[in-house]
Amino acid sequence: MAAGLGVTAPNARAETRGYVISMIHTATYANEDTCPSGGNGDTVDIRTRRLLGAGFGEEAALRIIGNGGVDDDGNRVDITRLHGSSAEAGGQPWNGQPVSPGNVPALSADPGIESAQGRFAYGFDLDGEVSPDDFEDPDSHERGVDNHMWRALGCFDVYRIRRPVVPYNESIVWDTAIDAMPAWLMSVTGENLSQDGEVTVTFDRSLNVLLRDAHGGVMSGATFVIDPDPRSHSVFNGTIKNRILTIEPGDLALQGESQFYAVLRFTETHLRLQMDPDGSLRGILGGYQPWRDYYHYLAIRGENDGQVDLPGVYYAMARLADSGADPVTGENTAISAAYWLEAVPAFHATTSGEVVGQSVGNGPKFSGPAANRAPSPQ
Amino acid sequence: MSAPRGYIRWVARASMLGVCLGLAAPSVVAEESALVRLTPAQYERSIHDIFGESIQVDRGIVDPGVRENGLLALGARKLTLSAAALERYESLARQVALQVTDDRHRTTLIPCTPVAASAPDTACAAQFLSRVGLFLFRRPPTDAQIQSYVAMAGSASDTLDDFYAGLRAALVGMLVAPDFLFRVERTEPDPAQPDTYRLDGYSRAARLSFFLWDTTPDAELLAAAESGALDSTPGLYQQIDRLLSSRRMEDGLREFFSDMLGFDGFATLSVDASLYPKFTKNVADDAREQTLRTIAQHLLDRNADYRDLFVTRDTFLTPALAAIYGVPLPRSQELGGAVPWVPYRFPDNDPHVGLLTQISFLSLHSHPGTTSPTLRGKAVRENLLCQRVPPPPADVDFSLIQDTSNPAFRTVRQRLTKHRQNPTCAACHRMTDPIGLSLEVFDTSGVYRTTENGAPIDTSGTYRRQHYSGVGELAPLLRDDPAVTSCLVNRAFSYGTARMPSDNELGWLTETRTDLVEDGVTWRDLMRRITQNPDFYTNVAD
Amino acid sequence: MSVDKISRRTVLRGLLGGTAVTVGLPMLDCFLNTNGTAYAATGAPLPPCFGTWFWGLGLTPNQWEPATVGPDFELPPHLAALSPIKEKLNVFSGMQIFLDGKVNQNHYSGAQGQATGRVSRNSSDYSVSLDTIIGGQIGSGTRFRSLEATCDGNRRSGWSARGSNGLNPSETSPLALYARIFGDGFRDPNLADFTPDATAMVRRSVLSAVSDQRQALMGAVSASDRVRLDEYFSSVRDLEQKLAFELERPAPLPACSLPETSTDDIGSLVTQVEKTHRQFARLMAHALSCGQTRVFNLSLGSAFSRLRTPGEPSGYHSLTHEEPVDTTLGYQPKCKWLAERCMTFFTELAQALDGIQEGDSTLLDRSVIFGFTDHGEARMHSMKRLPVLTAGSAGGRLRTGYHVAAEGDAATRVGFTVQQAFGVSRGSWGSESNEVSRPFSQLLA
Repeated sequence: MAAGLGVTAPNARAETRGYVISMIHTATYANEDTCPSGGNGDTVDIRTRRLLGAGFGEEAALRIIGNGGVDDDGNRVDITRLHGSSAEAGGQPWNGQPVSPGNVPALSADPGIESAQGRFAYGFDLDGEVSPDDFEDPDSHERGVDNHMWRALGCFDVYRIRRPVVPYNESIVWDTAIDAMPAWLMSVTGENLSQDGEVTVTFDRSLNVLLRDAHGGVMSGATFVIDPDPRSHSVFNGTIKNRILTIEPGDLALQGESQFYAVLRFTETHLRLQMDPDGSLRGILGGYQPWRDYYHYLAIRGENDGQVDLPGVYYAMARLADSGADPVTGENTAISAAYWLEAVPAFHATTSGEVVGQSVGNGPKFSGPAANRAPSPQ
Repeated sequence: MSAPRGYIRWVARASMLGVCLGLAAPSVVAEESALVRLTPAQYERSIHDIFGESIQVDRGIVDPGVRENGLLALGARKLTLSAAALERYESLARQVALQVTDDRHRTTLIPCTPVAASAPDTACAAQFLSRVGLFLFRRPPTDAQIQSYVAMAGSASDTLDDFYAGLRAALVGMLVAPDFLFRVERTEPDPAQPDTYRLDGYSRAARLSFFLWDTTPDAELLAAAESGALDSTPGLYQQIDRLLSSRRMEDGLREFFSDMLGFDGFATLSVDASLYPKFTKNVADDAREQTLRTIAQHLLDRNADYRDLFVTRDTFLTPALAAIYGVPLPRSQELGGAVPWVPYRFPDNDPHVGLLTQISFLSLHSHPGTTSPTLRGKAVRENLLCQRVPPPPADVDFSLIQDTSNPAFRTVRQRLTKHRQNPTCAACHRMTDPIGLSLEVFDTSGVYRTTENGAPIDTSGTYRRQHYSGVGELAPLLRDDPAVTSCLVNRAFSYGTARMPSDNELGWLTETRTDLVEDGVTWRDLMRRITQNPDFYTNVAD
Repeated sequence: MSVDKISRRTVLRGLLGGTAVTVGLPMLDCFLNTNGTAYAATGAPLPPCFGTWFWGLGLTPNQWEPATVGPDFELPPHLAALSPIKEKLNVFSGMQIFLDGKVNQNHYSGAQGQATGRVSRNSSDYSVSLDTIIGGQIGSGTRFRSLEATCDGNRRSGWSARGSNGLNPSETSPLALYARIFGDGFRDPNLADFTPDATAMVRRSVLSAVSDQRQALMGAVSASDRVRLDEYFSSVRDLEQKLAFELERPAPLPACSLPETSTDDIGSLVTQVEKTHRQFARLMAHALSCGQTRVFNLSLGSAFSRLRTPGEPSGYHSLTHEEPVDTTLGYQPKCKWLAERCMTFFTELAQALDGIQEGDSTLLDRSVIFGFTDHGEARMHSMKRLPVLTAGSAGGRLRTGYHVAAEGDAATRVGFTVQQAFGVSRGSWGSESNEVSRPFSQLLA
């Protein structure tokens, strides 16, 4: 949906530069302070904890795990099944039918996962307050950063990382999905985008998919037709200062078509992007995201691929959600979050063929899924 | 400028007259037949035309051709088939024969059924093989040949207890016979000119068909050969008209320009992906197709002047090509569908103008990691102007070539200073480098740039004493150079006859060039003039 | 049956289309003589083999020439990669190819001269090559007359030619070559049973009938076309012979085994060429040991070598002209590195043959690999001081372990010496100033 009131209409004489989003993933920042209790580990640890919780001794638990989830008689030990999307994987009865606890997590008890601590996390101050619960952004050093999603996820091994390492799960899905998923677009309109000034920032979905380059990254300079569907159209007032692009908070919505990022939506959306000389944009996108959106991504992936404790994340996110109180239940439905975003130059066109966004700059040599092949850290 | 041109025309006409009066010395028209090796493309097209498009031909390059005097077609006149190539052709022949005789195809392709499927049937074999032989050998097989192939079929049927296996064996024999793999251009005495020879009707049909359509003569052309129609002017002209008005002209045109522009180089093109991320594997294929499609539209659909290919802004693009050219190309998305080719016209202020700025030219004549003005200039001279650039001498000391980190030599133009200043180098390099330097704003992958290592790129130069700044100003100078047209005319003639023109033919070619420059260098006109020239249907002594 | 009564003829042959069954014998060491060098019954020695190996752009001048001459020479550091095969190696220095006033076709004339004995005015005028001459002497009765391959993806990057009608095309894909040699039509010499393939017999008789049509065509064409037709019919005969070979049960060859395959990775990066070359080297070694051919030709790539390291904008050839000579070192460092890579590839090829044990000796011992290049100094396109290598001794006929310094001689002397070692009886080889009549007698046993 379109952003809030008071958005300046783009000036007819202005320049519009088009971009296509080449990479997006949860912005992680882990260091030795993040998980003082040792962290939530990986799938082996999740299975071990469940066996211990079901009454198995530690030695028996390790033996079962070592045998691949099978006891000494060769029988499958159900509780070691990781919660996937198929019902027979560790099904529990619900209305007499087996269901996957990943999909109906309230059937399980809250295992009480460890949440991420420490001083730093990427993101923005969304609520205008600096509280002891808040973080400091490691790049901008903004204080009062609200990022409860990081607390929920940060102590799982797959998230307990920081750049240039990228969350494995998300990078795999992004690399696979973009070849069939309509691309996500950004455009920036202003009088002269080579200088500081006021701008308009627009997000849209495209009718085309991304083009790959010779590295398997995202090709710069391709052309994308803008999907006229208003559900993915969001407009923000923004500012460029010292080659950093920021926006006034508003609502963002992008329809996706992939396992991860079925939909991307935020309220209180914040942006902080560096405008590189090669024409690309990279930085942080943050805001309050409906936490069930993210849980849904993880549940589809299942615990085997996603490598998190699904009921654990469910309960943690429900508890840590810090916005969007449901009018009936009073429970918060959205959680503060931050994502790393990268966009490369692209042409935009309307469905009638009119070119409305220019591609400026050759783009980076290693982009999107190929970004981690760049010789120096981004 | 009409006086000199008129003078040249007069001289040309005088020399032609001289030939007719026996005053000039014509080259010897030969009695002997000529052998021209079929190209892999001609092989495939012949099989498809004779047996149908559903026959799969797994081509895979068989034998590399050799470029002689600028054309692979001339090399085909000199080459034979190596053992490795024949091995491959025999294997291909077995695949084709297997499909032709399988259940799906035999009802349509084999006109008779054998008395018994497990035994020889001479009559049916003879019926099939003589019909097929006519098309494969491009002339009726002799009685001795038919007997030989029927015997092959019979003996194989006996050994393998299978009529169709026998037919397959004989068909393989035909497909590896020299009569199929080579064009045997036979001659007969020319009744109009005693003591000279001309191609016989079937050889005329073949030469005409391979020239205009790059394929084997069809049934109507073979019938015209048989009836003697091709030996008479009206009969020949009628067939020429028929071939010229067909859509199949595009096949012939594409093969000719692929040869003339050196597109066989695409097979070994290597552009460093780490330096040029936009040059994906698809781009090389797309680039080749873009140029051929542009030429086909220009010369066939629009019947436009060949020279304008140097300055045209009209072309076709795919999304990947558009990204390299830096232009927007809105496209509808058909997930999993074929790559769309979109007609595109570069805007007037866009630096892309004509063939020289297309990726096919720019990338084919560069090094994998850097541009090469010398290679690009040489390609223009040799491929488009038919001028020969001498090879570099031995024992040249390149120790004065500077490294790229030297701040005084940041652009290629600066690094090639030695080429221009040293008189030994300059003699040849002044032929190539100025042309190539005008294209330096396009890197190896075809991407436009205005600076190199931070220094601005200077694209000025001189061509035939006229100054230009950038390829936008050089292109019209090339277009107006008569050498561009002579080159096309001479190459086309050589391509069609698989030989270099003889001395008196050169005179005729010069006159043709002059006429076309005045009337417009259109493809069909050029093809008509060549194929209506009786000299086109002669062999020349070695 | 006692061992004495067993001989190769004990094997019964199957009848075409009949019901007789072939009985083969497993490979027994008794088929070899006590040295493992000959078939016991006939005493015929294991046949010698010959291969050529081409690499572009030579070596770094003044770095590769060994300081001492004769046997027991020392390999300089630039040739350190050759040390594992030093005993079976000969290095030749100081020689050149003469142009006799013709234009120096860069990256061509020097190699053409060494491969064919003559330098021509233009590249379409090529003549019969060294391997064809030697193959004519040693190579009858094998499935393939010779095998050609190149590691750079370009079928024209070879130097072997049957006659004057152009180069033999080189195989570019190891997988394709594997299929050609060891795929359909391969008859394992050590298999217990053998059934001749009826369709192969049919194919062979078809080719024979095609050959019979020779005369009808020969009369009609010009003299030069007759030569071309002749070569075409030779190719037909080669194919017939290939099929004949497949129709006969092959004599057991103790060291024959099928090589492994892996995916192709063809390109110009050093790592890609290394992998492709290794695959081809193994294929050729196995093809020789399985009696599929006796002659092979392997090119690292075209003389305009595009060998390069990732991210380096210039390929090897460009570097030879653009890389400045380091004033302290006195040479071009990157080019020297690439030349040394080429030498490791040569060693790998020699070791691929040396790794195949045949009784007391190896496949390399009964072969000679002739290694040659296009220029003595690539930077200057110089035809002087060409490096030439041989590996292997052709069953003792060629002495090894020598450095031969033949200042000013024509490089064709090496090719001539090798021909003599294989028993090619001719008084001289080569034309004009490249004609030689004296072999290096110190190398001939």
